[in-house]
Amino acid sequence: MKYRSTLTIDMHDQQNEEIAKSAQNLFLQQQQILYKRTDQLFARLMIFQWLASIVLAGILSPHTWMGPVSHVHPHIFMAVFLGGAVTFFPVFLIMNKPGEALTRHSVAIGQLLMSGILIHITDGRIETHFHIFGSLAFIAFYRDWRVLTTATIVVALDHFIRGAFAPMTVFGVPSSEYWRWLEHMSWVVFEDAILMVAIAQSVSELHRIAERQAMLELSTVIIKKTEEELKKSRVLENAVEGISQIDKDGRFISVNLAFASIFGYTPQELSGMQWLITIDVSDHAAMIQTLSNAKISGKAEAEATGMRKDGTVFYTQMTLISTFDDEGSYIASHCFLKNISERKALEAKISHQAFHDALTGLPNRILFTDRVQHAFDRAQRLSGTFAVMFLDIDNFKSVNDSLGHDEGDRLLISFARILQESVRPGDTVARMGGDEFTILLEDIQAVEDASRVADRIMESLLHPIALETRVINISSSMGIALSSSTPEDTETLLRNADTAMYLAKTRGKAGYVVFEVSMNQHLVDRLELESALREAVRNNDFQLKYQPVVNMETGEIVGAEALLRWHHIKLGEVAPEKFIPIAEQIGLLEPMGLWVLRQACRQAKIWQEELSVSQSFVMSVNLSTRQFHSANLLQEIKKVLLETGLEPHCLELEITESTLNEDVEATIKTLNLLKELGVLLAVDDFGTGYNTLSYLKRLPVDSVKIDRSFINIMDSGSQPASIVHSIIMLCRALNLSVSGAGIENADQLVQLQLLGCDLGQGYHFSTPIDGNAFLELLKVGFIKREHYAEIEKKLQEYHPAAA
Amino acid sequence: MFYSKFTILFIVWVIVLLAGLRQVTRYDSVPGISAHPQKSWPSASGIHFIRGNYNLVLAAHPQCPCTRASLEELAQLLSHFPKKLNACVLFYKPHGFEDGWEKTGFWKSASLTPGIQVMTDVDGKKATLFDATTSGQVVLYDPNGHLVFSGGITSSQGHIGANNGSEAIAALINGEHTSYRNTPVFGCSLGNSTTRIFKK
Repeated sequence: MKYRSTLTIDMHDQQNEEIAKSAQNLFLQQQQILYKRTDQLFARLMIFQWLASIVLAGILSPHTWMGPVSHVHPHIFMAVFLGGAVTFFPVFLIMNKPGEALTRHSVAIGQLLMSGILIHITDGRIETHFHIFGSLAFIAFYRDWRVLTTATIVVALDHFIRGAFAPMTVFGVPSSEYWRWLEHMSWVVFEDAILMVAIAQSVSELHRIAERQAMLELSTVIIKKTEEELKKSRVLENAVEGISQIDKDGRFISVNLAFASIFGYTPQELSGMQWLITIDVSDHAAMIQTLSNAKISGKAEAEATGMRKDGTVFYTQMTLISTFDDEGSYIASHCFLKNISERKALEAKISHQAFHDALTGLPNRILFTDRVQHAFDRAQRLSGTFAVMFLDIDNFKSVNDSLGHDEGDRLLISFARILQESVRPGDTVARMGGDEFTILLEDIQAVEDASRVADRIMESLLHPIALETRVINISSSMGIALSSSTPEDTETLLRNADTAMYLAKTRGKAGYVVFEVSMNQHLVDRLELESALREAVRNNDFQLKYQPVVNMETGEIVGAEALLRWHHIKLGEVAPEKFIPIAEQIGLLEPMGLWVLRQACRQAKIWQEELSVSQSFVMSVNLSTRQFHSANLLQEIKKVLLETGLEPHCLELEITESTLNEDVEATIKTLNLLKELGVLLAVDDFGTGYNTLSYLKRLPVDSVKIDRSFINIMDSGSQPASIVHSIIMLCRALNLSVSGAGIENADQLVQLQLLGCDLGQGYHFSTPIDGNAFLELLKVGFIKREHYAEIEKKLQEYHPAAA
Repeated sequence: MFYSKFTILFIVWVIVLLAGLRQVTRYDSVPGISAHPQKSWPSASGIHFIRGNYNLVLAAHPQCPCTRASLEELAQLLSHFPKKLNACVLFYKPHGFEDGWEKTGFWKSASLTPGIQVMTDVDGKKATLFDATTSGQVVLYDPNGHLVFSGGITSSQGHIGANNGSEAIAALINGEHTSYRNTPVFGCSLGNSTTRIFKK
């Protein structure tokens, strides 16, 4: 209570001081206005007086005489020059220093001296003496007693000096009579005293008015301030954001409801408590520093771990804004609080996503690269070795395309799990993208350690993987690169592992290869080949060769199979087995296949037109898996047939059994659509995939081409022949034409004839030849007719009855 | 710096003013040559002496501004002693000047004042009889025709107000003692040369 009273008194004293200060300022402002206004009035008056004194002197005392001779009267000179001197300086000051004390005092001196001049000019008339009193009254307009004093001193000095040296001019007597001087001065002082009292009263009234005005203004300010404080306190209280006020000792002065609620307190509980109670101990030092910064710079921000009343923690962002008094002394800080837990969690999530693969949760390329770099640093420090493995899932694209992306994703997740289970806890498994994975094996002694990991992975992959719709078996190709085999370059190490993996793929997949420096040459070769292949596609640098399809019974050429060949100017003849897989990998197979189709159809049409070849002559063209699944397949075929004018039934599309095995229902659908075009359909390489047998009857195909592998081994025993026989029997049952591929000798020809194979092709008849050579063959119409006589003989030897 | 410049200007200004005022004071306070008139009324003057009254003669220059003060002071005296004092104002007129030159406002003012007789005094010949050479010179003779006062009745050049001359005349008429029988005369010269005595 005592404190409150003292505080109240202090506040009143402070307010009184403020009022006094403000009143003084207002008074001084008004006084200045008054001074300047009076200065202006005096400037006008003095100039007027000066001019009037000249006129007056001219009227009253134009000349002085010596008998009949006149001269200009000294009063004229006095009015002009002395009056001018008296007037000039005060007016000059009024113009240059209005409101200044020097100006006022100069005006007082000038004005009183002008009174003296006027009195002299008017012969000292008593009436003119009133000019002095008028001047004093006018000077009183300044409401400055000091100026009146100056005026009085001027009068006193004038009378005193002249009374002493020229008493006649003042008192009309030849000697000084001080009582006369006193009499004179007393009246002046009397008037001045009255004027000064009047001024004092007036000034006092001015002070009171200023004080009242100051009080009024201060009251207005206080009312406004109070209203603002009330408004602010209501705003703070109702603010959604947590806001508190902290004193210089770090204690809460006030907290709003939102602030208290965030920490699980009530505002009353927190009031007066140390603010650090709401911050986790681990952040105390940092937040004390933050508050210190706010006390110095006025504002500071920090993120801290907030602690609730129940001990749970959360992330907060605190903004401290300090307030200072007029002298710049610190008063308090406002703390604006935000719960940023959600943002922090999001940031952590974003950070995790930035360095991890969203699908598998494994580290991504960025994180893996970073870890490899760390491994390099560590290996250098400890003189150790580590290995990087590069892996992908063999034929993953086929899985993805046939089973759908969802199943593909599941496969990737399962594969990632297998990899993680196959490595040590400290090793890093990462997904680089697509079906490419990498493994960082640190602290290994020799390449065998990495090989063991690869073996474990391969062993794990022997077990089928259960997806949602089916169970599949997969394999993986792996490349291993040791840190000791490369310079300290993460990128090179990864590339080496990739190269090794590529080689593993080219070596038949489902295996691993340890990188050696020489492999880089292989990679260079491959890149050259890719480049050349792309150029060949652009320039159509391929050739088509045709292998005749022969009626097994008559030897008549009934068709041709178009076969793609590539002769490179530097690389020479490149085998299809070499460039076709690369073309498939780099996405060129589709345009190449289209080119083959177009060329083959065009060639067939030419032959038909030039040689009046039978309309039953069929041109066979292989369709790659990618082509078969292409959405534009039907349109492209229609377009080619239209362009070339070849009848659809003269075109046979050969589709490999493996292609047909991939999504049976979709395959049948596509085959039906092709069938509707009128083209012939053949199953190529039949027999390699046993699944096809089960649904062959459902496939809308016209013929089956027995895989050359069966034909080639027919000589070796009865089993392969039985298989071929079974295929032929099956086709007969299904009313399908049967063709034998890869017939290389007469024995194979005879056996196929005996088994009832309709058509055949192979080196026994002709190697693939260019269009011109084929034309010559067609002109004959038959192949090796002379051999057929020998074949007839052999047939009789083997099976006389059949012959 | 600015203020100090103005302060210096202020001081210079005050000095200039003091110097100017000193010159004015000097001019105002320098009297003309005082007269030494005859002890008895000069009958040759042609001015009628009225026995039983005090007779006063004022030599005045009709164009001199100081004459105003002297005439006013004289009027004051006459108003106090209307029956005891007779006055004659001799208005100086140089010879050859046109008629009426001397009949200025002062002439008119003096003629309208009761108790004053105005006369033209060509070349100041009458004034010379009273040894008056400075405008404003007053001589006073008692009822018996004896000179009792000679001097000016203004305290300085053309200055109206209390002065020893007027006070002395009043005292003499009242029969009182006065120590001022001669006072300085402030006014223009009635001759061709200056009558003013400048102290060196």
